[in-house]
Amino acid sequence: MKVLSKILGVLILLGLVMAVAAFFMGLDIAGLRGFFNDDEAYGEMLTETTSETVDTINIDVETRHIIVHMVESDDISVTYYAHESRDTWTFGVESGVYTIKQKEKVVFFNFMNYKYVSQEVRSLHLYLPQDVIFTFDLSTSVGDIRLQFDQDTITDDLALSSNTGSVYVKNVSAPSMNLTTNTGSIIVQNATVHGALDAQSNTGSISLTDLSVSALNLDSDTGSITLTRVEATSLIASVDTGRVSITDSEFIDDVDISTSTGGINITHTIASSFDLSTSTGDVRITSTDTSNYRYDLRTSTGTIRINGDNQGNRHSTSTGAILVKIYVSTGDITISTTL
Amino acid sequence: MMKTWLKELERALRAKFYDDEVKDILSYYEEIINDRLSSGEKLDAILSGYDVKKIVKDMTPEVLMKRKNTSMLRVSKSTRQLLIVLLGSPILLPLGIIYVSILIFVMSMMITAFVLVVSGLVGFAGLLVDMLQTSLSLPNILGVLGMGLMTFSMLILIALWTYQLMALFWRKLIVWFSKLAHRRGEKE
Repeated sequence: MKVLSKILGVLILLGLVMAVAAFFMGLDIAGLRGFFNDDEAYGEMLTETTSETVDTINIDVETRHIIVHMVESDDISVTYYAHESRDTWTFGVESGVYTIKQKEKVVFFNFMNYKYVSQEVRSLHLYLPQDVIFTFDLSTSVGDIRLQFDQDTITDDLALSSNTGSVYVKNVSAPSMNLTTNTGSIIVQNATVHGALDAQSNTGSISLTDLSVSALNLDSDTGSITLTRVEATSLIASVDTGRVSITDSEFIDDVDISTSTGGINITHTIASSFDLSTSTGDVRITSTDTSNYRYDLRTSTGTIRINGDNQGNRHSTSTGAILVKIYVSTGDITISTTL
Repeated sequence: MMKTWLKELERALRAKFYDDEVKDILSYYEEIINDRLSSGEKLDAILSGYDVKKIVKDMTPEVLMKRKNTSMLRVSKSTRQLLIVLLGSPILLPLGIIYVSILIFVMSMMITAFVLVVSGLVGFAGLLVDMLQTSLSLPNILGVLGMGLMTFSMLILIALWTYQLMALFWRKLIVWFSKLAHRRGEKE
């Protein structure tokens, strides 16, 4: 092993000498950048346009970001780049469904490829007429999905799924949303969902801001859940490892949150009842009015504090309209009233 | 009679321990028995107090504590024996679970180090192939190969150090957990 370490040390030195020599011989860094860039293999940007009647967009791509734009146009157009040898693209309209598929051929020893492709070349841009309401079923294996609009946009049901990549939704009003990602975040800003919003992330955070929704079902294996100014009928949130934070939100029915490892922080949030549980983590509720809370609080290892008063590790009350049920295995429970 | 018992003990010890360890244990028991005989105790009474199987079981953590695990073969043998001790007793079971968890981490890191070495070699080979087909100028080829050589050599070096560190940690684990098992055994 010592000999091997010495050989590797000599090789590092040799590499350094070669690099320095190359620099003095006139190393062209711009040329090197071009060498490592593989954009050329994708050729010119391609455009696909259809004027047929479409109400559903179905996209299934393997290695592309999907970016949706709403434009003043009667036609649907798609811009994309296709790899000269590896990509297979299919476009078609049938029964009002516009289908786009991209398959990438797996090349043996492709893992030894050092070249990178720019973000733009890896993106599929979809331009849709802004006065048509579309149903979206978009999925990508590697890439982000972006439905981010400058102004409020009405759509039909949304189903967005990315294996490795994030899902972004902004300024959208839809009957339902189903957002999933294996590795990546889910970020929703300023949206209205008349039915249910289901968001699931295996590794990645879920962040919802300025959202109005009926039923909210959130699931994250590893990653935090953050809700800010959310109005919903009910909330069911489940996290294996990660925090749950809710701020300035309002729920007509129950709030049901469970985590395995991670705290729960609820600030200035209204609900008809709270059912919170965590195996390891602190639970903190901060509200302007806690007088109507009926407590059922338990912690196996930790302390319960209500407005600074230590209540031991078990505390329950019998009056109050809002049931606050918190079960913690290891962690503190803190309820406090603020202005 | 004492020789027969010692032979029986030796047979049982040889199935588990190395020669030097067997010798140490045999001489230890021979000395104890002789001491007790000289203080007037009867051989039958002394030997009836000893159970060969129990001696082997009880001595295992102590032997593992002192064993020099100089090769991977010895490390794996010691690990196997320690696992049997830790997982075979309800009192030591929590310790066994912690040991297994740490062992999984150590092995994962060793596998990662191995994969790093392989990917470093394959990666550099790929870079060489790329350079043979490229239209880059000589300084650029030299520069890429130089930087590649540095990067992949460092990668392999880090992998080797990780492997060595994990191997050392594995050996230490055997000693630490044997000590813990021995202490718990003494308390019982």
